[in-house]
Amino acid sequence: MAGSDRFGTAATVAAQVFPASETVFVSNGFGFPDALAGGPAAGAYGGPLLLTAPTALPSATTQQLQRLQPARIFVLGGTSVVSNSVITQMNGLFP
Amino acid sequence: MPEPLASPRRRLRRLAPIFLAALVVGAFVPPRQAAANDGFLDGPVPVPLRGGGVKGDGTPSDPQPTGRLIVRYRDGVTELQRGRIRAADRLEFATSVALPNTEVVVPVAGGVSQALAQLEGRSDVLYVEPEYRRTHMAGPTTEPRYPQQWGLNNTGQTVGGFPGAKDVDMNVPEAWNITTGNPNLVVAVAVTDDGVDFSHPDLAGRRWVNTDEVAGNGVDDDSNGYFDDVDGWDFCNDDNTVHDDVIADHGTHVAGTIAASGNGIGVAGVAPSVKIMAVKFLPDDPNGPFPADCGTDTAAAAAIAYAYANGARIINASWGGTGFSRTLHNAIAAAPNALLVAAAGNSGADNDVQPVYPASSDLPNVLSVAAIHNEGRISGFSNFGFTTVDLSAPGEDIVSTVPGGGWAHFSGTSMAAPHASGVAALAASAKPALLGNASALRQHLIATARALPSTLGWVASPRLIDARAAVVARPDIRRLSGVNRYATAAAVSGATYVPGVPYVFIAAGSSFPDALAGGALAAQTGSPLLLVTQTGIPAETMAELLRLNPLSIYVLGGTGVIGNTVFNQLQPLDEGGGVFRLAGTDRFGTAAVVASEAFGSGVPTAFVANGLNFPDALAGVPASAVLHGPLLLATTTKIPPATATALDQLNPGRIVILGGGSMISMSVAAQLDDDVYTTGP
Repeated sequence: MAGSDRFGTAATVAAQVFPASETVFVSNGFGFPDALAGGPAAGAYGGPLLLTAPTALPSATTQQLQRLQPARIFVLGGTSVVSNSVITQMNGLFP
Repeated sequence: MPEPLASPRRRLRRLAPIFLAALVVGAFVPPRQAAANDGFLDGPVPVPLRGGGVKGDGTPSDPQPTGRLIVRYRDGVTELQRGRIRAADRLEFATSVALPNTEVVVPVAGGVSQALAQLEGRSDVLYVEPEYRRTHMAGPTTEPRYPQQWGLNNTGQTVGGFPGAKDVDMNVPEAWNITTGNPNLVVAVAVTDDGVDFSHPDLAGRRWVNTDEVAGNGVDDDSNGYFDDVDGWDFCNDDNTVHDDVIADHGTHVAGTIAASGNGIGVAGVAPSVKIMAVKFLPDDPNGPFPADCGTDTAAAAAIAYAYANGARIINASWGGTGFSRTLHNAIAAAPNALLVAAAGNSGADNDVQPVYPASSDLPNVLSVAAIHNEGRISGFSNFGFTTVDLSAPGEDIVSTVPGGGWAHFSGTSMAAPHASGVAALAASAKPALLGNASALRQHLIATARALPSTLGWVASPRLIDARAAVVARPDIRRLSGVNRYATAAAVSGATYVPGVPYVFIAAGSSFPDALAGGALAAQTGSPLLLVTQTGIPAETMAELLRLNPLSIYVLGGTGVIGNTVFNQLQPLDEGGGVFRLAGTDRFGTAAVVASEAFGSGVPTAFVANGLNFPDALAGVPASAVLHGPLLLATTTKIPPATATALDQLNPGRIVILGGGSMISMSVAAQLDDDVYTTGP
């Protein structure tokens, strides 16, 4: 399972393993510390873990969020690892 | 130092399969057999049934509650804990549900709504909902003529002689999983037209009724200026019959597109549960003799005023003409909380050059709609306008109801507008805040419309109106974070797990490999993962461990990453199951040890990721909870011996490589594919 980059690989895993999910976890794809506990937690919710850049939501991640239309999204870490602009971009996907 | 009561190996071998088996029946998880056999589950996406699913009765009956509640507890809530919850909330167990962690309960004191509120407030309850009794099997998608309704669901079917472009549609069945329209909201969609034949069986139950008026008593009971206007009003003939002649088929067709019942007959409206308010002002036969009041700007203004005064907040206007009318403009402006959905016109002309009214009215409560055909381009007849036409909707070869109990295919922007009105009704049903806020509803419909690049340049927003996107709820986006990585992990755990978990996995916060390999096992056993330093347990981790009260604790990695001091500090924190260390000589070895502790030979899946780079393995952790199997580590070019040995022992049904060739090279992939694991560094 692979995409063109880390974001694409996480999106591919989500696309192939999670036909539907009400919960999605999103973490910074460039730093692991805040993401480590998120993997098992996402598994417990039955949802995928998608990756983002700190200030911009990658298109591969955007596509999976739009496909899944989740009821909740958990963002891992504070504003220094996932900025508020990413959250704004995610909100913009669901007007 | 207290010794573990059992060796880690024995303990996990004994316990892990139990919890893995418990997970197998979980809703999130397909059966192991299927996971092992059916590829990567990349089949068609099942559409979740939400909000009670699609109801298909002609007169959608009110929900029939059984007085019981369906409760789904979070993973890990034991039967004992459920019993405590039931006792505390005064509930009685009724029956179990064929879903994991789910049961039906009956309130023994207080009402259903009180019990609902109590259970909703509990962190260990994933969801609770009233149980309803289902009575009808037919849904809108089983309507006999539904397969022709390409605007609702374009399967590529041939309509009007033209094969369609698959999926160029408004995603209506997807929207129906959320709502088919709320008949109890003031969502009556006014059809200002040539009348609606409500005797049509496919419109059964769709008639708006003025409940403030008493039929046939010759009195204007509600003092709205119209006598006995139970069904609406006819401004053409100035009477209370809203359909007069079988030749008047336009409004009946429009009404069917908006709201034809899902009753096993004919077609399905876009919003098959909403009500239609018939307001007649167009003549029965525009080519024949008709009363002088028919079709005039004066009559149109009166029709709009009537619809607005009687509560309609979506008004369909599948009519128009060139030439500005201040009267018509002012009538629309005087109904500011109603969205007027207007047909752009059927001259194939540019409305930017020659405006068509009311479509071209420069008002925030007017949505102007062009027509597309089933191949996804603007219909040849449709008016367009880069600035004055908002967007497009299906309008060519549209099958809907006609007077006399039949159905017919019509084409026109008159057919596009009601598609948009239907979606407006769905959106207002799903999002009540949009009802009565016309400019917000208009903006919402435009913003949620799906891209249709072929209409670029033809309309202001090169988009096709999208029912599903218009009704989905915005997700609840929540940040899980703490002052540092340790606190973030504790926050994640706190938001996910209830106390009394079987295991907690402890990893070093300073490096990722052990946490990821262990994380896969944590994911599959429904266990949290918390972080420590090499020399200490951070306060947030300690507090979360005390809250979780785990049976056993597993420390991931050797003393180089988590020292014995930490290991010893963890000793008093388990509930009797023991504290164990899972460690190899390096990250690859630790992953192999985790795998061999928890998984036996013949495991359905094994994941292999690059152990020097975290992102791909991280994404694989939740996936492992679905596909079942350990996460092993390699480098870009080598399969380390520990990994090879583990794979030999596990003999997995398949190996999922996480990441592309730059992470795991093609030669390593080929070795994995050939079962040649023993060619390590």
